Amino acid sequence: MRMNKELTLDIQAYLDNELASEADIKRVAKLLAQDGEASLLYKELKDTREILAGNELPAKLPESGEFYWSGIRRAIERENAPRVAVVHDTPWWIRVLVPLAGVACVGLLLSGIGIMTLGGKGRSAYLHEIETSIDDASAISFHSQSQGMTVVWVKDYNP
Amino acid sequence: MHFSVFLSPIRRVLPLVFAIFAVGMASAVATEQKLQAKLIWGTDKDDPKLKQVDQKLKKKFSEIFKWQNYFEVEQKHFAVAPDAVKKVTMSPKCEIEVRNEGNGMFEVRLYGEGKCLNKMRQAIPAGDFLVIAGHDKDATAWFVVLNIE
Repeated sequence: MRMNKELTLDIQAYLDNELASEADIKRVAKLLAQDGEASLLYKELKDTREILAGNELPAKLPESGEFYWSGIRRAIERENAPRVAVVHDTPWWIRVLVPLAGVACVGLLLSGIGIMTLGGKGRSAYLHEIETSIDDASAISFHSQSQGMTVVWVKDYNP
Repeated sequence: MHFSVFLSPIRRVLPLVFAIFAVGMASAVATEQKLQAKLIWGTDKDDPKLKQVDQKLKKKFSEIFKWQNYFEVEQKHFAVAPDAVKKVTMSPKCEIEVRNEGNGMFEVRLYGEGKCLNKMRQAIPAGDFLVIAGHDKDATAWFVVLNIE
């Protein structure tokens, strides 16, 4: 008999004891007894099943089955859990003070620049400009850093 | 912590900061400068009828000048707006003219009997003094002291 897909599946089912009716079992058994090709296929399938049953490595889970499946369950629960709005646990006064501190730092920086600039002006201003209008008179000047005093000494004038 | 946590308060505070800054700048620009001018006589003689300068100024003068006593002859308080000029009479023969150039810079002219004797440009930081001085008769000295109030 020429083997077709239907017969092949019947032989597989016979081997696995999965044929539904007694008639089918007798039919396939008769076929195997009479047909050499069918008998050969049955033998190959039987050998294959024995080889696989005796040599197939069991799949081992990295953790116990219970733990493995509970992990999958937790992952699914996380995915399905409703999104909760992020609640900031930072006190309100910190959220206000942090930017204020930043502004204060900028202010201090600007003040520092201003002080340095004014200081520069002050130092350069000690080399002040003096003009005298008295023909035979002159003026000298000096600055006392410690006393914070600039003195212009005018000669030959009495107020 | 998300960065937006900081942005929200900054947005609320920034207008206030800018307002304060603007008001501060406006007041700094527009405010006139208050000054004090003193005519002081320095001598080694004592005269109980005359008023001694305050101890702080006397200490400063004693560190620089040689005289024993410093008497306050005249004291004037005045204010000069930015870019404005103020003439102040310190004695019948002595006047000073002060121009506020802004940013703490001043142009000071010394007048003797109506005649401009000296002109100087000088920064007067708060707490500092500009002293215009000269010899007087009998080994004494006169001082015009200018400072910011």
